[in-house]
Amino acid sequence: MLEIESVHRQYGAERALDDVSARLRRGELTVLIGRSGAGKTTLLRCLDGLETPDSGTITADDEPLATTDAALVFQSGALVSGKSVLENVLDGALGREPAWRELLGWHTPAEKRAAIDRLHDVGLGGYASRSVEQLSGGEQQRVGIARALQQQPAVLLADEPVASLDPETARAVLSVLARAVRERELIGLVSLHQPRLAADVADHYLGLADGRLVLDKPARSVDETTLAEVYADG
Amino acid sequence: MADDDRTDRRQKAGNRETAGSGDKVTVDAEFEQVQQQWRRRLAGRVGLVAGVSVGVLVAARWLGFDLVYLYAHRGNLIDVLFGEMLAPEALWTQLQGDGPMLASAAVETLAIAAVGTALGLPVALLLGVLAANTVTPPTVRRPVRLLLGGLRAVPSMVYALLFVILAGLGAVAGALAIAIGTIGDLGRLFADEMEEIDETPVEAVRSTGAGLVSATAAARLPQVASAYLAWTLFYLEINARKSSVLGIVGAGGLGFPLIMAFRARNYTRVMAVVLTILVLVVSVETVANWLRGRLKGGRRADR
Repeated sequence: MLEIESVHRQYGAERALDDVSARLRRGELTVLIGRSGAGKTTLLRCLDGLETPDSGTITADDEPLATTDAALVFQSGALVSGKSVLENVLDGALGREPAWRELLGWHTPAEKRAAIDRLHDVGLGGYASRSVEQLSGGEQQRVGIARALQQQPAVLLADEPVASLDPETARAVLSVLARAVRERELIGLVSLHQPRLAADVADHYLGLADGRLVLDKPARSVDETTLAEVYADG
Repeated sequence: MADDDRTDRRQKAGNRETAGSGDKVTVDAEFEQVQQQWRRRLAGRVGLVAGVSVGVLVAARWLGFDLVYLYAHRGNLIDVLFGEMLAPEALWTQLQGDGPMLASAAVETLAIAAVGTALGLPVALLLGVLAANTVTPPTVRRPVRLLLGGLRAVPSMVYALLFVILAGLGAVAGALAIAIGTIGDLGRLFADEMEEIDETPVEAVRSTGAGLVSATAAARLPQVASAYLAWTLFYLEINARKSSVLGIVGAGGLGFPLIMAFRARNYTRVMAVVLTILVLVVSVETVANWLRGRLKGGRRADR
């Protein structure tokens, strides 16, 4: 269980997150919706540990959520070019490995095998040695997911992971994410711009408007009108 | 019921996912493959490091590197260094005596660097833009790149010696040598910088019907302007350093007293000149850094 307890985050005069509280359950994929600038990215970055809330707490199973326990999938893959697919996935383990290993490019066989396993999980069997520049947008995003899984997180976050993909590819990438959350019993939170895509994968919805939480409902009690209201707000 | 529907769709999506990717290789097979590649690469790297090390050692031997000889003769350098160059009192007297001469030579060095950079800059700008593969076709770019490469191949000292024939002994020859060196180096840097820019705004501008020159002026130069300015300031620094030794071959500035002091084995004076060069170069660098800082600050304030 991930508990977000009255989290505030302010940039200058702008309130990016205003008293946000929510609970997310294991094995469930929660979709975070809201207009641009509503605070979705800020919330995800606070959960990932890239930013610290000005006040409020974030706990997983009653312990403060550690950076190494939360993995974030970025919008456009955010892969390191010049490295192979495998090396990018191995980056997911950087938080628990000593720095000299990365300096020498030396990884344990166990980590490498796990990374290849992750790649097969996201449907990229046989891709390990390719360079990331050769990949399509959808494939890059799958590598991003594999890297996040390599981190062995308890919480899997994704910030508009399909924003730059065509609908069909987007659907495929989302289902990879959803499957990872369910099979590994992770706590999943994904921000999405397209409610229609969200309907395929969402177990639960959170909606933000102007930094405030305006929607917190299970997917079965949410219809298109409810979602439209989140975007109409403010 | 709605829930079941959802699960159903999910499973379908999941199936398509695995079917689409088609696991042709097993994890084990791919792991073996990766390990093999890694072992090969490791062997290659170890071989490379060993090879380069042996090569450097052999070359050093061939040059006559002999650490035993160097150690045996350490006294020569130590005597000069600590007896004459780093002797505070003698150095102070020397600096007081040579002060006016050193000051005027330093100003001359600075002027050579400034005039040389200013003369070279417009030509470097023109040739740099012409040498960028995003701007000109190969028929133009290749000869220009060749010219720039040729200019770079000749050391500034050689240009200085050549221009002494043209302009006589003195600062003019130095400034011309600096200008030619600046064209070769800055031209190349400008061209490389130009090739790195985002071409989509250029296409946007060209789609309005703009020609090559106006598109370059409208969409390319603004993208590189601050980088070009930063490189130019960096070259002013480098040129101050360069022009302080051109005097060795008679092209004006601090190099002349430097070589004369060496010839007279007056190492205290050598140290006085070296100190002056140090102060000059550090000052130019400080001013250039300050200007670069203002530049960045200005750009940020614009936003």
